[in-house]
Amino acid sequence: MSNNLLVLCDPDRDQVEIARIAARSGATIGLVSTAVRPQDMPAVGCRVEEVRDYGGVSVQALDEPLIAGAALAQLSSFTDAVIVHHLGQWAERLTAHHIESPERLDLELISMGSVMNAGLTDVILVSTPMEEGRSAPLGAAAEQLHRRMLEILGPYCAEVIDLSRAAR
Amino acid sequence: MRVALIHPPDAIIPIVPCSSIPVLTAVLHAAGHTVKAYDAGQIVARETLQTDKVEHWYDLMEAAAADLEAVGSRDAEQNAELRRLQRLLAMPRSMITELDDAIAMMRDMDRFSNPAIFNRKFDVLRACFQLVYSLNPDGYFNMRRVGHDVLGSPTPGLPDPPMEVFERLVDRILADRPDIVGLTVPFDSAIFFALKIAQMVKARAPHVVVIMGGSAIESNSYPVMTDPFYFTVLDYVMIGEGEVQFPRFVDAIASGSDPREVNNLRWLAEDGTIGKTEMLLVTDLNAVPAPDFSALDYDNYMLPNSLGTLQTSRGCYYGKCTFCSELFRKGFRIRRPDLVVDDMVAIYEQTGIRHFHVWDSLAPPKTLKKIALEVKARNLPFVWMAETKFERPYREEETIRILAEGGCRFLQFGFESGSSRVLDLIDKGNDLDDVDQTLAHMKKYGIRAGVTWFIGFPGETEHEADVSYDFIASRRDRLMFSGYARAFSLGTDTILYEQQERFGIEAFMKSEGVLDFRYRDGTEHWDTEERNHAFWVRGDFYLIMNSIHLHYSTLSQEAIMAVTGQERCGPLIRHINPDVLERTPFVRTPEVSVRHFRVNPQSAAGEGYAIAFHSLTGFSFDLDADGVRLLEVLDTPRTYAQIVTATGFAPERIHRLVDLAVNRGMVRAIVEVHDIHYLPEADLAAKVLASS
Repeated sequence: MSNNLLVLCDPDRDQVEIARIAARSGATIGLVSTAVRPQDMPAVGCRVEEVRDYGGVSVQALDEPLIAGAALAQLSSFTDAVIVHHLGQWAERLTAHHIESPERLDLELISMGSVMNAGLTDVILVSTPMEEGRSAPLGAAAEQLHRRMLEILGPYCAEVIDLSRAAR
Repeated sequence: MRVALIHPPDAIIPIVPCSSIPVLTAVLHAAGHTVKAYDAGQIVARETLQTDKVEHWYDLMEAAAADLEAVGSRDAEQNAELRRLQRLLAMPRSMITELDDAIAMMRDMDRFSNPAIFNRKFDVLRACFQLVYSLNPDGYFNMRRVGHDVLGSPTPGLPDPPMEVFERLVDRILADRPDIVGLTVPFDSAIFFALKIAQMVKARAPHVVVIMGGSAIESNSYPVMTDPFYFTVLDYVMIGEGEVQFPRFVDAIASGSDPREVNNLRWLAEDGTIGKTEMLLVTDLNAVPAPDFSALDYDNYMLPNSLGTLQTSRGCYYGKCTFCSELFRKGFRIRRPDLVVDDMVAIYEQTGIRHFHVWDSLAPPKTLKKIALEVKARNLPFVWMAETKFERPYREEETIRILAEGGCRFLQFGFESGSSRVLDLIDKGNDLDDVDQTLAHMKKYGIRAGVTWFIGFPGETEHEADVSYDFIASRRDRLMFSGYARAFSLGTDTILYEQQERFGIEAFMKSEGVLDFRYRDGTEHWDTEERNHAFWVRGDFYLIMNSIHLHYSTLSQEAIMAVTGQERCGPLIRHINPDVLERTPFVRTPEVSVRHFRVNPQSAAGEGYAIAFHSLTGFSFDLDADGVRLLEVLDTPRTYAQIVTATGFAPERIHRLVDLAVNRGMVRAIVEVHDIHYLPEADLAAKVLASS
């Protein structure tokens, strides 16, 4: 079985440490980046992986702001670990895009959980912590979804590594 | 509860059972319900595909055509019917005498594996199948009725064999006193038949609950989810997946509680609107039991080695192709590969089947790799195939070796186009450079490859369509089957439809249930018809649709090539070295037969005409006198000059006729392989690979 992890951190600041954690699984690391906005996806075009730097490590990256579970499955096929960067941003993208079809939100969480549970690769979920006053400044809907992400996907993770606590 | 599950015909020869019946049987059994399953397509085939019956029907058509020919002044309707009958009668009656033997061949591995026998007998089988479903004007392969008309009064006259079988089948089903009749429609074509069956059930037993569901339920031709009309024969429509909600629905009926509290349902509310509940997909595919094939009669499927079908995932992990239905682009979920192998073992123990078709929208390479590793580790005698996409993992020789060692014998790739520009328009994510490397590894380890592709995507040029054909045609030593899937057709639930402006197109309804597009600058898209003929007759989509590939994948390259359309019909004129073209002989292909008719219903003058029938495709083409003469003289191989001498026609006319006849596979060029040249662009990827 795969060793899925949830890393609570500052996603921008802690990439070096996240990359180090991912490297424990093996040399080939994937990255699902949720940074690109859905409306910019046509310009990004086909989902073909590209090599990027992540915390000083070369990773095979895909941009995917919406169907991140599917992108995870695609990267799983040739990686030892995949970093999903990051849940808060993914929640923002999903809630903004599916504003008229909120049923799609759960569907994407189910998809992500299903791929994590299939044991195709080690998954490193990157997230800001959700404790009072420490979450990223998301809108209410995104914050609610972010919380649900942690509730639904958390059980698929063998361990929670809280870098934010370590930093304090 | 007693549940009758029906898989209506889907206009494909019943060679393997669709996976929906075993999946639903398993969950209903687990919930304690009794299931009787009916593969109506298989039952229709068993009861109609018999030499004496089809000969009888052919003779009825012959008599009906003769009666119409004898009418002094036919009206438009009579002329249309006469023409329809003549096109069907262009198929030689002599083919039907081989039908019983053709069906026997389908279960005889030795003869099935002999291409010379297989080609002829499979053509016979498909031609007779087509005739059975075309006999009555309402038959599926005629201009099938769409919309409300599907439930209209049947057209009197010639029998409608599938409908006659349905009448008896419905009597049989109802004799078992089911509480619920469930119709599963995995393909759009099945909805046509499902509605007919539902109509018969409701006419005989209004109290029996009739529900329809399946992946094709969102149909443009029959909008059963949104149009109250269809609820005259349906009590409920179930959208989405049935594994969780269908047993809940049956439980609700059994307990007398309100089934309208079950998710995924549509029904006709008292106020005449469509009632609905929220759609939920299956959240945990690992919790679903293994498919249960016990309710199906495997002895009646037409393959020498029975084939089990199963899925490892739902939805598509890529989810980006702009032509694809949203149904496949959302909610990708996966079943643990070790559980998939457990499913294969369960099916093997239940049925003895050890050949499997992993029938996903798009199986992730890692899943396939894990299945292979598991099959090998457990030393299971399984042989399997899967549908996938050209992806980076297949470039790794190690991946292909593992797949081969774990029983994989065939991979079918969604290729779509041989043009990088068109692939980018589609957002396909295929890198053409991957193709040759992947195919080379597969050849080394004995895994055969097939590709599915199409032409006419918005923005594609005619030249790019030709590049796609040539890309595949030039790699047939590594590409077993070319699944040309006909010209592009636009769906409403696609990215392309949603973003028409981005693609510079404007969609419009060409006829009821049929969408088309034009460009926003006012230009029409190019006419795909002749290329469609050329690529279809040289393609192997029907072999893929009929699951011939897994069995043929274990045969020699020569045997495989001998059943391909490309080999049977030869190159196009543009492929022949111009230096040898004038001395290249042409000959009529054995698949073509010509029938003359005394009366031409399309001509006021009433003179006779002829129709050519192509047994490989089942297509028929009108021939004028020149066309007939050309085919006559090409019973013997002749060059252009010799044809001119034999016919007395002008050389330009001969070139035009031969080009058309070659294009449609009626005439083939006899040419050495080294004189067949493909477009240089089609070879680009091979050159890149060689240089690297």
